[in-house]
Amino acid sequence: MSTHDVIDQRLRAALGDLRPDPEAFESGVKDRMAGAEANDATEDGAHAAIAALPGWVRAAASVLPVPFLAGGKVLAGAAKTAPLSVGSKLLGWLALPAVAVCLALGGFVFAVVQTRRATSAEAASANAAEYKQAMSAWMRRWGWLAALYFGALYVALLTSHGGLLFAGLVGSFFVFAFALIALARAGLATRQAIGSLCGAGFWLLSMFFGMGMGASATPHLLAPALVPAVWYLGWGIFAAIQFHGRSRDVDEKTRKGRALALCMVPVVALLVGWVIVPRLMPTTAEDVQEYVESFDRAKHGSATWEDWEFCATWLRESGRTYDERRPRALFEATLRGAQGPYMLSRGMRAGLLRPGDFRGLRELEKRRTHLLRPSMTFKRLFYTDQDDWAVRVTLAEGGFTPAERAFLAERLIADLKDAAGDDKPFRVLEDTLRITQLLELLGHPIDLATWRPQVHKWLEACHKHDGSGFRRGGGFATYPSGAPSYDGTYYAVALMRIYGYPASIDANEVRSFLQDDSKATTGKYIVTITKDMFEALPDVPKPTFWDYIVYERMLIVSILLVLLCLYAMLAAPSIPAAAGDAADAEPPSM
Amino acid sequence: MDLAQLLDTYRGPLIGLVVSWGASWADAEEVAQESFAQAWLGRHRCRGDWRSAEVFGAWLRGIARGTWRNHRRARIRRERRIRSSEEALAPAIARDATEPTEDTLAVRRAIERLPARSREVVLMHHLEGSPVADVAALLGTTAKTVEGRLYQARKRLRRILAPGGDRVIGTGVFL
Repeated sequence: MSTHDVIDQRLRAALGDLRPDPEAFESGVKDRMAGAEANDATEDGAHAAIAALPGWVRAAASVLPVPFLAGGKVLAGAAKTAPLSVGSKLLGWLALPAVAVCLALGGFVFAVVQTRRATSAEAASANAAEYKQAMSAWMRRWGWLAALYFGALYVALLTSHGGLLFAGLVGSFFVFAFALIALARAGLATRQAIGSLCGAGFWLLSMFFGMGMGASATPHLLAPALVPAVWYLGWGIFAAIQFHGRSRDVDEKTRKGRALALCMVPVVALLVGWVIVPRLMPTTAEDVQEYVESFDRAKHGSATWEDWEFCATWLRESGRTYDERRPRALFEATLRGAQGPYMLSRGMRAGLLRPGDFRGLRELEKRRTHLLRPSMTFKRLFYTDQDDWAVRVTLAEGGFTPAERAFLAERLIADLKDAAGDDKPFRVLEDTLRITQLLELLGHPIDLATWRPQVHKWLEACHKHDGSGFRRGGGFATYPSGAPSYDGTYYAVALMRIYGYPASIDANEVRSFLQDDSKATTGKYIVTITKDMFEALPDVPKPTFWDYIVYERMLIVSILLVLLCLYAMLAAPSIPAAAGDAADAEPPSM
Repeated sequence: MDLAQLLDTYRGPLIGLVVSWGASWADAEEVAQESFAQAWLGRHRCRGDWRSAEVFGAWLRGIARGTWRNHRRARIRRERRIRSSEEALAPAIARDATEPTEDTLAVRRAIERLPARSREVVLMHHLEGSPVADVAALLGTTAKTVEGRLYQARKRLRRILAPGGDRVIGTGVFL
């Protein structure tokens, strides 16, 4: 025996224990082949189905968590975009923001949990890892982009620059919905996965709109709360269909989950009712009257009195009588106290300051002296609203000689002229209204023909097309560089009643701003009375049918999207009863 | 050539080859099974006549390399989710339950000490005593080359295993 043979013998002996068992090895190979053949049958079908889809749908599929949608029967790389044109890819990738919204803030967890519950316990445990893997892969690949878009959208909406991004999101949802329909028809998306994803998206959008975050981005002629109502309704329909779809053969865990869900229904209904329903109920004149009569606390002092004054004035002008005992009692407390000039002005205009109170006004003589004191350097009054009450009280007492009235009128006009020469006059709308009213009382009415162009110029300067924060655009600011507000819009409309409606202002924008979506504050009363005053203006054009289409585009889009997603959901097959048993999938029901 | 013949031909060389890439014996057996399954199911996609030993050998080696890479990556990323290595090792441990002799341990350490190419052919050829031609087919080289490497390996092993031979520092193949 040669030395080589000896070495060979020792090598064979050393490796002998490590030799595989041929039969076990062959059996292992055959098992793997059997598993691979079963998978291939499914994957080949899935690959063929994806290959048969239109290019843009394949591109959209590449940004969707397709294995999750398909119940884990499609490989993550099945949706190939390499042979597609740039246009198809861009169109398909538009779906990404919508997917991001559906998956953001727990949508992923929601979807996984929903899908797991939708299947039998065995199927759930078998598929859960695949779902998790699919979603993790999606997050790794697209999560950063989705987070970037979602963050940008959030910031843009808060800073009132979300219009374009929001329009993009809506477009994205359409691509998403049509892609889902195509995938559903091809059997590549399960009913449960579509329901979970869309349900999560709808829920988030309803919260988004329900909290008023989308308000500044979308104009409306109807109640803005209709949009979140549609999303909530969509979520409810999706939840109900899924709930109904798993009514048979459920295990104990699912039954407990269902009982818990049923307990949550009243809570959710209460929340929805609290957020949405009040906003769908218009504020009536009776509500305004109740507010005026029940006014017994000025939470924010002069500002709260201002709201009350608007409403009380509107009621009086509408010929409605109201019980002013409670506001009078509150006003008496003010009279006994500091007697702030703004409060006195509001009380005087609203009729709360009565002749019997005049003697007790500590600052009256001082203000009168100030009003009639000739100045060496200027004629202006400067603080019209602070002096408003003194002028009105003196006139009510029959004071002021004709010469004094003419002098005061001259000073008020000087205020207006000074504001006209100022690029950014402060509280110009309010001051102009008060000056105009005081001039009328002094018997020296303003020359409307002369001042109309200037007042219209101020109105245009104060009209804000863009919203601010949680408030839509279309309203008026109290001064040109300010943000749109309810009081600014009230003053603007009050001026329009005197100086006429400027044709350059879009009436529908103003109507959009005057939508009642501030149920929790007194703003709802201001909105109601301002809208009433605005619609009563003779020159304001009425909205056309087309205007409703344009301004309610978000509502129309919301309804369409819910219907499209509903169609996609119903067109998709259900998850097979057992994991991996793709052949058992129900045929599309639509 | 049917599956059983292919298994008999390439089972040992393939497991030896995968072990030489750094796989444990249990992983190597798994990778080899998976590679055989894929190679057999996809044999019609093979470029050339898969019945040819050279063609099938290259095809099988390519699949095994990819499978091993995926296996290793998957193990790193999803250690908890893949089949536990301890589970896979169980049969090997059972076969290896008998205490190895001192000579066996010495030879195994000597194999670890071999250069990569020599260790590769030793493991492929001697695991099941496979013909040099089959090893060559799987490596995509000639039988002469394999014989040459085996010759060099034997010489090196003889030197290592000789009394007072080179001090062995294992590479971990048999650990």
